[in-house]
Amino acid sequence: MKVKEVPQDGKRMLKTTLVHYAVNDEGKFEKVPSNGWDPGYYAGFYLQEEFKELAIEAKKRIKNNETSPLEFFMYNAFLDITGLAQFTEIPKRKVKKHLTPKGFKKLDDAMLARYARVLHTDVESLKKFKSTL
Amino acid sequence: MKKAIAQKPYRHYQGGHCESGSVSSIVNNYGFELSEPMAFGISSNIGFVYLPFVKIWGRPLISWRMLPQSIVKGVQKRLGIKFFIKTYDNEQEGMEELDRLLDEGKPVGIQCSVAYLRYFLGEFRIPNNSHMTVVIGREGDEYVINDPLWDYTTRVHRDDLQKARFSKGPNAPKGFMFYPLEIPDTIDYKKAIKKSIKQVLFMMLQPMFPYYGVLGIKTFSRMIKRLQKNQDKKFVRGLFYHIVTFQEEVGTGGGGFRYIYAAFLREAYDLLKIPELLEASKKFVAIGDKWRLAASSCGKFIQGKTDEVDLEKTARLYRQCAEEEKEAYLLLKKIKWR
Repeated sequence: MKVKEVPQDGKRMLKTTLVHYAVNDEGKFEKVPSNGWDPGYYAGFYLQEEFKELAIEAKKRIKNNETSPLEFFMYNAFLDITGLAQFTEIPKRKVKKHLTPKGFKKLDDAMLARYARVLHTDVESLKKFKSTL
Repeated sequence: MKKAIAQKPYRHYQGGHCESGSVSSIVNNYGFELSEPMAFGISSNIGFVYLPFVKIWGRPLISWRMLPQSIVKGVQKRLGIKFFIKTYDNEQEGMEELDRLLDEGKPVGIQCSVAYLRYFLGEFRIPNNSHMTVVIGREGDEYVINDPLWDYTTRVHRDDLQKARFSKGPNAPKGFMFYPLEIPDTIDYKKAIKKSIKQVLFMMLQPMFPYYGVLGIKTFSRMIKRLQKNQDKKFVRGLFYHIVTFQEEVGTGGGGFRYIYAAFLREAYDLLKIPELLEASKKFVAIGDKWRLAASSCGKFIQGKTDEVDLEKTARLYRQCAEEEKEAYLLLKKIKWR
């Protein structure tokens, strides 16, 4: 990439410029800040949207008592069942159980705290989430 | 060997990649000139892994580099810069040690999860454990962070930093901490560069395992070619968000790493004056362009403007990446190290 070709499309996912190593006219490498690249930005943006949609759907299903509040928080933290099991270090089999309304009711505070840490929330809001809908 | 002493004030350093950037940033601030491409290249960090059976969000794992922490260890091994490297089982102990070092005026590099760093992505809290950054001081409950990806210094609250440093899951950081202890008087760059390039050649040109190196890129391009027949457009689009984000936006970069490696080869040429290195450097720049071209070739498809997409063309571009990389590595193989 030449110095002039460093993308400056204006939209960026991070709140900073990213540095690219580009070749200048003398054939030497320079650090050039880039102000966003469209394909990269949109890929990240839609990846985010995907999870937001899933979270909204999960909200509806929690209201109808079809799934546990954990599901909403799971998508909100950009995780799937495998990811949730890995990051909490709780076996996948148990995570699946906790994702049902019946299994969620049986959870004690210690287990909820483990989930809350990964899901960027606290035990109280996990418990109260259903009543706020 | 002489003792590494922290320079004051901390000079801000922005790099292209988190781990090589932090290593270079911290070593520079302890009084030794080490550029980012040199840190990246000398630890043979360029690579390609495509593991369809390891799933992230139900999509295959693709990475363009080696495992996290390998740059710190690689620089220590090849250049002989002695690092303090430690991981902790106890969270409290890890935080106390960090406080102690910061109070002594020593900036420290840490590994952390980006999900808990509020400054990082804001709402988009992607769970990724392999970010490296530099903590340069503390004021009350807040830590001053000099992130090598950022163009300004930021702050993180103590609770967040503790969660980030002791996040669980794949590549768990376990409070990984590093800073240079001793710096060698002289460095035999020729030997170090020779070793690092030979390791890259060994790994990338391996003929056995079809998910790594040049063979891995070919497998990857075949997978994309097969996608053309897939009728589930939503799945295909999702997969492309994943590929492009992982290739160019987050720190597993495809094209970006080829540019950094090209810069490394150029620096090696300036030191050793071996003509093949210069030629290979030029080739790697072209390869980096090709990776980015391949990623952007279905840009309209990614943006959701159209459902029609020529994935065979994209697959062809990725295949060309494999072929050109192979040529570049074979060129490096020809070098006669006397």
